[in-house]
Amino acid sequence: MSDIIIKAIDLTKIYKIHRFLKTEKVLALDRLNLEVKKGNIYGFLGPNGAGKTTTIKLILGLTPQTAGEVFVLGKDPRDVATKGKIGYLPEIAYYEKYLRIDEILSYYAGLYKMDSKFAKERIDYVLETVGLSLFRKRFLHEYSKGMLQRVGLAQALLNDPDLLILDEPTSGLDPIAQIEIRDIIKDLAEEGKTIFLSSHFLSEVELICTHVGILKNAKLIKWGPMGDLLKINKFFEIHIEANKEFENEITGYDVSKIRVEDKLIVSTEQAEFKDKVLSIAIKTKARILAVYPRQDSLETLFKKLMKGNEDVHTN
Amino acid sequence: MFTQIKAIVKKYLLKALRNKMFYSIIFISIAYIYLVTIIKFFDIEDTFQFLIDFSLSGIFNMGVLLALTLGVNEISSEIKSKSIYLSLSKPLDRLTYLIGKLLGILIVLFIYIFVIGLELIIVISKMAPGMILQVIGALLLIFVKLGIISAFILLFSLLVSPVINVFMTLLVSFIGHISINYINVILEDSYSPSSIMITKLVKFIFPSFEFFKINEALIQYAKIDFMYYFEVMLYGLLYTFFILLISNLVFREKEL
Repeated sequence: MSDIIIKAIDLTKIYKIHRFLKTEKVLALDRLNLEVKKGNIYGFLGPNGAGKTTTIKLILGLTPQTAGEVFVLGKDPRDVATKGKIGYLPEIAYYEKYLRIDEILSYYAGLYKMDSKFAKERIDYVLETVGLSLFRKRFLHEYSKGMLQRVGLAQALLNDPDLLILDEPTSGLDPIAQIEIRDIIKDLAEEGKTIFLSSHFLSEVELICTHVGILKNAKLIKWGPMGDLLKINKFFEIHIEANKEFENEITGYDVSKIRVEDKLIVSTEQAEFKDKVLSIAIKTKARILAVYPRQDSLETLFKKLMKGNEDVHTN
Repeated sequence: MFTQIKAIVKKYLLKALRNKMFYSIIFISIAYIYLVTIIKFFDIEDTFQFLIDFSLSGIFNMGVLLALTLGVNEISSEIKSKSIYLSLSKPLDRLTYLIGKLLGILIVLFIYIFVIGLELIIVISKMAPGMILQVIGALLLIFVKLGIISAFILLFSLLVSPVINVFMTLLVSFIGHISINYINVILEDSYSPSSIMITKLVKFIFPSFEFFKINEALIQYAKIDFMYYFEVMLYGLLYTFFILLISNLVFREKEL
């Protein structure tokens, strides 16, 4: 099997919205090129309406693309056998509330063509994994949102998938549950599963993802390994007990300054300016408190990308 | 495929059997058949005719109501709530999904026909014991007719809103019941080529439910040939399958 689990080539989706006497076209995804390799935890980010859910629907073969191609595990995602190797957790838990948890899981096990003995074993295992084994006989309408999210994860794991597609897996969960779900995802990645994760929680993505892709206005504007993307925005932070002379001297340099109480924090992306700031501090007898090499958090990077027109990627 | 259909049917049955509407319709139907049986006419033949006409048409109409109640929202609500994403993200062919849904509705309808039919057969066994088999045949034909109606309900649930679905299903039922003789009269009397074409098209496309109505023969205590039942049931099954295939074509192209 190839190392590439998901591959999208110029994948485009245009929705046609039929209104009275006219049809409106909406570009939901514009020439998406994407590659997710085996074992990656790929964080897929973007504001609402950027095209994340459309991409997931295309990867799952739920909707046909307008142009381009998408391959999942080397095959067309509409290939029924391919779907047997995918686990999917939707953003909102859409489950029939009149069913009990063991009934809904047995329904999904049936869709995976599991015989009843194997299905029972898998249901026991996934309920144990998501911490719901004590609640299996309860009706779904009795569950909180967090519990339903666990049910969602349980059904996504039923077939022991090679690829897990998780749409907002920690949405609506309390902090403890968020940590628990995050730990489960990490464990699954350690088992060698490939995870494609869409999330609004940037800190969560930064914590667990190996790769990231950022969508904006239906286009993938930034992608690459997490470490490499954050390294692009490396900078230095110099903490100084500044005096007037120091502040006058650094005026005109390409640095940013923030005053925190009696401390001045000078930031610059360029090493030469860092050296220059340090030499000015020594010259003006301003006390250097600390020098930190920093890099943007994913949140800062995301904010910058949403404001600007950046189109950068790393390989 | 069998395991998948079994899973879909099981889930559908759990839903239907936990729905109070199912029991309400069964209860109302039992009460209706009881009311029909207690009405007596001076002539026993009139009583038998009344019983056959009203009970069979009542069983069909309540069956349509049950099929609409349980089927009209079946796919559209899953699309609306997006729970269908979870099912179709599994290795499930869309035709299998539709077959599972239709079989679910048919099993519920079978339970309904069985319960109400049993009540009717008990009454018939006292009034005209020789007609029991013919009445069972009539009930089976109603079941097959309801199968066609259910296939239409599923097809419409992929295309239109539940309210329009109800309206269209009732329209199909109404047009399907128009007598073939009456259609032929329209064709003979019509001079407009367009109206002839439309009438022929309606005759060709819509199901002919007239074949399923054997009330006249029952009232006259006539024996109906087994082959007649076989042919009509085959027609019903083929028609249902045809509608299912159209539904599959629609479903495959549907944006979810």
